[in-house]
Amino acid sequence: MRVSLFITCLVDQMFPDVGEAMVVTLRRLGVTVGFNDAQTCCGQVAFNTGYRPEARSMAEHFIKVFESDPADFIVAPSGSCTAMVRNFYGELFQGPDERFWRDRLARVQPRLREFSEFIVNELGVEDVGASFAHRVTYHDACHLLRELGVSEEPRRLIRAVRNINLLEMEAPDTCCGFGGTFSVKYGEISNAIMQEKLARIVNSGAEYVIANDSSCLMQLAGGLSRAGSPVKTMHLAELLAQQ
Amino acid sequence: MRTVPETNQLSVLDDVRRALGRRATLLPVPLDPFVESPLEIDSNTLIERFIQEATAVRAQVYRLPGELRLVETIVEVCSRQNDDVAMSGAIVFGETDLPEALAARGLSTFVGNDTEHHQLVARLANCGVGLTAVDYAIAETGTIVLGSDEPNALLVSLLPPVHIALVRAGQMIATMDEAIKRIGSEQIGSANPARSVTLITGPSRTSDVELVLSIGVHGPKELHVIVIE
Amino acid sequence: MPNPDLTQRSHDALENSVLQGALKAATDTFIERRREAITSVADWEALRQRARQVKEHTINHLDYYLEQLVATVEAHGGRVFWAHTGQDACRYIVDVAQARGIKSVVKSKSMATEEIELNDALEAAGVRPVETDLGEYIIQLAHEKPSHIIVPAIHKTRAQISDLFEEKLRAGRPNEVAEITAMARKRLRNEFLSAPMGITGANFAVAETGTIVLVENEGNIRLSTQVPKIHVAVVGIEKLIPRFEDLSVFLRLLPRSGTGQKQTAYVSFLNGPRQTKAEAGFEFHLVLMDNGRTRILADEQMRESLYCIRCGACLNVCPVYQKIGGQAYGWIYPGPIGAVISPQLQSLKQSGDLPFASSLCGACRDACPVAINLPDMLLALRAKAKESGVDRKPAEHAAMRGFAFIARHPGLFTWSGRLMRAFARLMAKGGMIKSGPMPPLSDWTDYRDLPAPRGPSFRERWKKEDGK
Repeated sequence: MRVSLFITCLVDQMFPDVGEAMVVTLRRLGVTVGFNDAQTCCGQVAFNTGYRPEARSMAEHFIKVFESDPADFIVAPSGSCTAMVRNFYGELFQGPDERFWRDRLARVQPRLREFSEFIVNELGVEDVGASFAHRVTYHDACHLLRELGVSEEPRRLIRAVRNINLLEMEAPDTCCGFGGTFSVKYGEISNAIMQEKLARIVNSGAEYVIANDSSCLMQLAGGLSRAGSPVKTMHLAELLAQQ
Repeated sequence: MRTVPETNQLSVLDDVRRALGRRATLLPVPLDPFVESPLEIDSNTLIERFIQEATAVRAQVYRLPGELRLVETIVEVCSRQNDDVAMSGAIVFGETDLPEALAARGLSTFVGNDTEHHQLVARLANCGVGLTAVDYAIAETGTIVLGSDEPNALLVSLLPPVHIALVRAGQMIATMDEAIKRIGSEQIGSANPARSVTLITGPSRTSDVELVLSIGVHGPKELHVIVIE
Repeated sequence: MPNPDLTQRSHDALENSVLQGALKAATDTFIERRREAITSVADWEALRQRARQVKEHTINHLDYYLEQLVATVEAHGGRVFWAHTGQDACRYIVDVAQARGIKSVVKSKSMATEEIELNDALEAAGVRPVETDLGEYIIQLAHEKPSHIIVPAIHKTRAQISDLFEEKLRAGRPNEVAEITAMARKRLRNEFLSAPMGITGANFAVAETGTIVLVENEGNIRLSTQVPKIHVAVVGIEKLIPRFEDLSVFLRLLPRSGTGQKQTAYVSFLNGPRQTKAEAGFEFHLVLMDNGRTRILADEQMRESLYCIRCGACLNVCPVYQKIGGQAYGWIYPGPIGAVISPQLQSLKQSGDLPFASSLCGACRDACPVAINLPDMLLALRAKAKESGVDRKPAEHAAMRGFAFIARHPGLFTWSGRLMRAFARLMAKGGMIKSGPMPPLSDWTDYRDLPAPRGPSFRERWKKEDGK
């Protein structure tokens, strides 16, 4: 099984430990991992902020990077970035004379997988050999849950970690309030939504909140830190690499 | 269709057609019907279900094994109000000795089949109870169905603070879906379409204040349903 | 109607602790009731998909179904008026009232009539409109706009309503909810019995049978349509459904989605003016209103915004609505559906900021009984706002262009990444950036810390450890 990493600009630049953890776990599961360093950013932020031409140019670059990659799957540590390519790239190449780009996209799109759905659904694995004797809670990142329909897979992976105690928070499927540029354009509202989420996380009694999206984790980590809370954030990839 | 085109009719319909990318109205291929498997329920279970649902929405339901105690039940409810009792023009009331039984309790009845509308409204507004039959009852939701074929039924069931409705077991329909289809074919789509049909599910209510349920707003405060088997 | 600063209105809403409490209680309750109500339907998803299919079909053949509706309504003796704009609708209704010497009308809750500011037009013409839905009656007394599609006064506490009634009605102070309701019932009963005209909207209009369908709990719609001899229904052209039997699906979806009920207390099927042999004077007027809907219809991508059945379910699950409430949206339609149709019914200029005030979480789409793809609509409106130049932010655009350029050049990407991380490390204290010097970084740090990157980027580590 050969996998090409879609590392995402956020993990690459801001949370590289997540990327490393991904590689460790995938290799432990016998997967050959490749990384094409011509990749940069999928263009989600530009698309979500309404700048479709700019998003399109980044999408074209993404397609060029991955179209001739021979890997079986292209795996990302992010539900939102995976959804961007799988669910939204089509909108960028919609016109009647876009057949050329749609064909090239078709070589890439079907191979996209988010990290947890890849391990559970493609490798058929739930126990990756990890061990983490702590209380954790899991946050359903919105795009992972609603665009990709992934919510059971991460939980199965978490439960299989030795000595772990998974405590579900109340309403784990509610938004963390990040929403891309929404977090800074409407920071006060974003914060108000975040405060509700932080309260649920703290009330769960967990020491760690786990999620599959670094954007959510960035928001939650920042909020927990500002509140002086001892609760820490951890990406699912980092959890699965714990021994 | 209108033969004299009005300026704004052309304007709006034209805009609709233009928005849909055409000059002339296109005849649609109708959608296939949405088929749901009908519920096969025996009559007794239907009635029980109806009673359960109607009670849940705060209607008071009485189940009578025949007409023997019908008048007695109605009189009992009416005597708590102490105002006139209005009866819709349903034939069934003429076949009982209800007016006499009510008179014996000092309550007069009123059937306003030919009364002028505003007089009828004013009279009904002073009645304590409104008494109607129904066209159907729906077990799934505890709903009763009144059509304006029954003279004045809609106003009689609306203006007095108490509404008593008479349901015969044979009028029971299992689901909302079946009921809509029957109302559509028997009452509204038919040759003599009823002017209005009303579905009534429990007494009037609101949750507009802090989402706290309050029974009895503008419509009746009490709904009594008598089911006769 | 202009749409002033959303940020300011949100701020005011967030600072209002009474509102915050009311919003939390209301939305939590609605979510729970809806969840419970859905369990009484065997296959909710099948109903949703069918409802969407019916609406899609109807909207795509709106010309045919409008013609059919008009024909059947007129065959029943009703009058149809086509209103191109809201002003046309108001002018027609005022004319009908004035021509008959009508001085007061009773009104039921209708978003369409709020949209066209009908009450203002009536009052200006010397016709007194009386709102009869309890929630609308409350906000009419308070001179406020509705804050929710289903429960317009939900932003008010019981105490505030008691105060309001005591002040405006001068009949003592009603404390309990039952007392408030009783006072409203008594006041409004006289209005019902004396008003010559009732004005409503419609939940659905059935083309095949010419039936207007009205769904309610209080009985004020029944009274407004059965007591006065003249009934005027203001109906947006998107409210049509093809056949009577189609109601079966919608009447199961709407109550459960809107109020968490299996069925509302009353559903009225109205087929034209009452006709008794002896008596004249019964009239039914159907005002079919465009007011920007054909504009939405013309845009194939946005057309599904017209499927909305105004249930309010999207509001209750929206994390933004839950925090800022309905009045902060600045117009009649709040929540996700408001953010989608306001910029279209008004203009991008007036409400083009609304689509940006969303985290795109998608909870609205899940809750929508007609499965409208609301997040897609929001994204499309954002793109339109930028492409039309209405939401022009030169610095932001330059940054996006710059980033896109860098993203097409991996070498440049790697170098600018190094620069960014170096700056970030300078600003960090204990692994966190606590305070950014200017926007957008300061917009972030106003409310939370920003984790600072540690060590080299992934690509640099990969290059070092794995070669290639």
